[in-house]
Amino acid sequence: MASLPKRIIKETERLVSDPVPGIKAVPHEDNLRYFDVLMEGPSSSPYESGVFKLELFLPEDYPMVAPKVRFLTKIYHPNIDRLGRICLDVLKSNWSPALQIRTILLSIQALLGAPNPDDPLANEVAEDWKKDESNAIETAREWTVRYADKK
Amino acid sequence: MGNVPAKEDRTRNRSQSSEGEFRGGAGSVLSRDYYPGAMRKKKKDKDKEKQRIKEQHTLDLVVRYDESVDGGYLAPYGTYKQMLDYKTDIVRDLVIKRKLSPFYTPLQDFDEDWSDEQLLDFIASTPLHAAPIELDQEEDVDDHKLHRSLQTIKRRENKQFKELLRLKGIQWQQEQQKRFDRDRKLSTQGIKQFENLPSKGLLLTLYRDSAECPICFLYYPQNLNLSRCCVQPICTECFVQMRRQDPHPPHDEQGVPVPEDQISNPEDLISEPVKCPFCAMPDFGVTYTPLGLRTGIGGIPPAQYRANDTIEEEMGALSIAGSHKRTSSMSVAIARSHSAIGTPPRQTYLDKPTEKSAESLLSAEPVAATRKRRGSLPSNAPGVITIDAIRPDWETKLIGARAKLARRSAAASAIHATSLIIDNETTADPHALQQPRYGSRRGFVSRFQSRSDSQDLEERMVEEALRLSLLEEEERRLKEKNKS
Repeated sequence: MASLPKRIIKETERLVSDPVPGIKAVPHEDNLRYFDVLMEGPSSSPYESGVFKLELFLPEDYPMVAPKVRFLTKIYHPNIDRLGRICLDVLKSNWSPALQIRTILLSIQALLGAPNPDDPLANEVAEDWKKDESNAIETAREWTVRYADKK
Repeated sequence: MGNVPAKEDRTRNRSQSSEGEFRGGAGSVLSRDYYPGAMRKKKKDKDKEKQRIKEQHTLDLVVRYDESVDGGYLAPYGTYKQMLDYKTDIVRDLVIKRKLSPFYTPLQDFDEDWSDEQLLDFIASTPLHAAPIELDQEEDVDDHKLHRSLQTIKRRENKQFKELLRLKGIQWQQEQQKRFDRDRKLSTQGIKQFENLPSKGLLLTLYRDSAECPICFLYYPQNLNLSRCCVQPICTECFVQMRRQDPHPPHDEQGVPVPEDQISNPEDLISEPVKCPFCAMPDFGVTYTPLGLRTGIGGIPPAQYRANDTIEEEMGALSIAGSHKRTSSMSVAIARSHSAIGTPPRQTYLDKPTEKSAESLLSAEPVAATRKRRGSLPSNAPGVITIDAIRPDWETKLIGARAKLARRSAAASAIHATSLIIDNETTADPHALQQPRYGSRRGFVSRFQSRSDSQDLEERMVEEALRLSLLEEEERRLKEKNKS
């Protein structure tokens, strides 16, 4: 593999030296573009009791293209589908090279705190959410207890 | 596109666009089969021309130490290995005119506490260009095809050409690095002096207060480009990486793209100007204020630069006496470039812009001096360089993508129409089943001759053919326009 761009090295160093509260991102030793991420559910959300696993990969063209991020822990959320794929504008058309691993993970954490059922990726979840929000939130809480690690 | 420099200002007279050559599409198959001999020859010439343009592009991406502007270069360092298909002639020209920051060699590290010697050592250890990447041999799907079509052969030829060019590019860069190393060695040993090697004073002036580019995180001299909207710094290497997204269907309000197969109208495809990476303002552009020093093309030889000149030069930007001095130093440079007869061809063609940029800069200087703290600027303000200015081919790409989609949907509807007719046939005429359904072409057509819907079909096909030829004509005209 080609040598790692300075930007990725520096971002990784800064993630270690100045970690984001509630988020941990550690690169694999054999592939420094591949990160294991642990993310705490934001407080006062149905996910607050859990810690979620994600994977993050920096493609060859990063930072000109967005990192690829996916939930590995099952999660009940209208903008995250069964495969853990995330529907978030900054991961797609609104990506900017001035954003970083840090900012993108914060955006995902914010998405947990503010689900958007009007722009769904998981259609059924979004339907539930719109039909009976309190029930959907309850399900999300249950899933968090069942699948996510305890904080 | 008011920011594109006028055609006559361009350093070289090159045709504008090389895009669209890999576009497969139904049109190219037809053209190869039906073009008579003369046209085929013309096509061959066109292919040659395209290859020549690509070769020039690769040459333009080679960093040469004796092609410098204010201590930076005309080609990128190589932080990014891909998407270097910006218009190199336009960017080189903008750098020479000091409208865009030159491609400075980036420092991977920087510490304010370094001594001058440490800083110089670190700069000296950085090559002209980053090491090339090792490419994994990717599998060619065409290898698995039983029948090699003309397309396959053509694709393979293109691929071989591309690979060859890539290797040539690496070799050219290595030669430049060797020359740079050799000349530096001879110079430090005091055997021979080279005018184009940067003086210590120049390097220290540039890199003493290095600034980090917020996108690549590398260190550059402080005179980075500034975004026109929010005045954020960005190095030229990151700037030329920015590009429009490929033509795509419009997004609905939530930003979710409409699936491609649901798009029926090719005119729906859109291409949007690049947004500012920092503040998301549409139509990203930058401005650049050159340093007070002027070395390399359009200035004094980099080797002659002395650090204490800067102070004079900087003050010179504000006083008439100073600009007087500058004029004289520049006329020396011009005179010298005129006398340079024995220099390689590359050098000689660069001599022309030297004069021109010297003139244009003299008039631009007072503006640059007064524009110290500027606010947000519109994308068409003088001095703003937009992404569309260095990548003007987006319109051709958009029209190409629309035409491709139009051809595809036309083909789809033609197939749909034919199958409808065959269905009618089989249900209406039970004997048809006994006949070979996909018999000879003539038989197929003659069977429809008596039917009224065959006329419908014919009409539709003629209409379709007309529409397609109109589309292609439009495309051709645009290309022509871009070329002239």
